[in-house]
Parts: sequence; structure tokens; C-alpha cells
Amino acid sequence: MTIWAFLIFLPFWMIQGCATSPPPRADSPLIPLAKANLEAVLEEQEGLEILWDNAKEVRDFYRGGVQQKSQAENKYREKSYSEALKLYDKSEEFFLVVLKYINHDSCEYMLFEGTHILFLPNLLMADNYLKTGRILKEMSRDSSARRKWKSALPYIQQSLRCERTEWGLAIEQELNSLLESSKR
Amino acid sequence: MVLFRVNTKESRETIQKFLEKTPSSLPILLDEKNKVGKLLGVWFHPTSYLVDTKGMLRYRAVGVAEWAGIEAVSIVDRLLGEKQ
Repeated sequence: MTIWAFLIFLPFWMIQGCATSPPPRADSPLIPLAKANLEAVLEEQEGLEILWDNAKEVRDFYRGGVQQKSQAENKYREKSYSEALKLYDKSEEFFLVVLKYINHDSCEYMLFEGTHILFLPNLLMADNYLKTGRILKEMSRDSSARRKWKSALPYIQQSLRCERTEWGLAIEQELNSLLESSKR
Repeated sequence: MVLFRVNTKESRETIQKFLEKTPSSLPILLDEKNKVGKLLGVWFHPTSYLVDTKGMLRYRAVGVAEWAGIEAVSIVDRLLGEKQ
């Protein structure tokens, strides 16, 4: 009886153990900002624009998400905030499709032999939420900004579980500091 | 209708060696720096594109396409039937 009870409860105990432990980090060396950065990601996906209706494969959705993000970044720099918000939203729609199928970031994602790209859908989602949060804060919508930053955390944690990037760590640090300061 | 093969990221010599073993009557365009591949977002070889007379990409087939199949023939027929 005791053995049966042990066998029945063991799997639940193990599952609980995984859920409560801190998220593991990729134990690979830190990938420097010089290799994995926003400009490099945007540059890799330049080309003919992917329209939502024409996107069929996961790769199309990733490319579409990056291209929309590229436009959003321009509007963000120009301080055209309402246009930037729309574009970040569109970018997130593309990335959410990607993440349904591939929830894994990689700095060496192989397209075909000899050609690798930065494939960072989780990190880019987190970066979008970080920036949309900054815009909302600028518009004095503090609680919406906070919600965005909170939403970014699981994405950046997932990204860092796959690839320990200097870029990802900087985003995580900024999110934590913004969330901490917005508590006050 | 005009057909081209585009080879990405390989040298002329490599392609010539390949053609000695596997001759092809189709012209091959060299895309040694993957400019066309990047423009179109190619991630799989082979990928085929059908471009209409206005230069618009109208169809993409990822992987080996069955060009004699019903679907491909109907697409090509439809494009050929369009006014220029």
C-alpha cells in the first residue's frame, strides 16, 4: 500500500518541483551585443514585405513580425507614438503565430546549409512590450505601461532560457527596474 | 513564359562542375552573395517563384514542386491567360 501510494504521488511531487524552481538559464557563454542586436535582426529580414494574408509558413510570420517591428522602430524614433503602437501590435500578431509553433530562441538558427540567422521571437516580443510600455508611460497611461512590462517578463525569461544574450539580459534588467520604479 | 534557375551562395566553378554531371538546358543565374535569396526571404532549397508580367510574385512553392500536377498547371495557365 505504501509503495503504491509512493508511486502515485511521485510524479505529482516531481511536477510541483519543476514548477516552483527558478527558471533555468542557458548555460552557454554570454552572446555579446555585437552579435545579437536589433540592427542585425532587422537587417537580416529586409526585403520584400510579407503581407499578413500572404504569410503561410512559420518563417513568413517571423519575417513579417521583424519587418513590422522595423517600421515600428522608425516611428518610435520619430516619436510618432500612435503609429508606432499600431505597428508594434501588428509585429506581435506575427510573432504570436511563430511562438505557437516554435517557442525557442536561437542565435544560430539554420535556414539552409551555411546560412544562419538570429531567430529570437521571444526576445523581440519582450522588446516590443518594453517599448510599447515606454510609449504608454509617455502618454501618462501608467497602469497600461506596467501591464505591458509585466507581459514582457515571461518572454524574456523564455528567451534567456534558450540563449543567454547580453541584449536579453539588458532588456530583463530594464523591465525589472521599470516595474520596481512604477510600484512607487 | 521564361524559366530561370537561381543558384545562391555558390561559385561559378562549383555550378559548372555540377552541370558537367547533371546537364540542364535552363539558364542559371548566379546569386553568390545571396542578394536575391535575402530579398525574397528564401529559407529552403529549392523554392520556386512565379512572377507575372508586372513583376509581381504570384506563387511560391517551397520544396520540390510537381509542375505537371493539376494545381501547378492551373496556376500557370491562369497566369498565361492574363492580359499583359
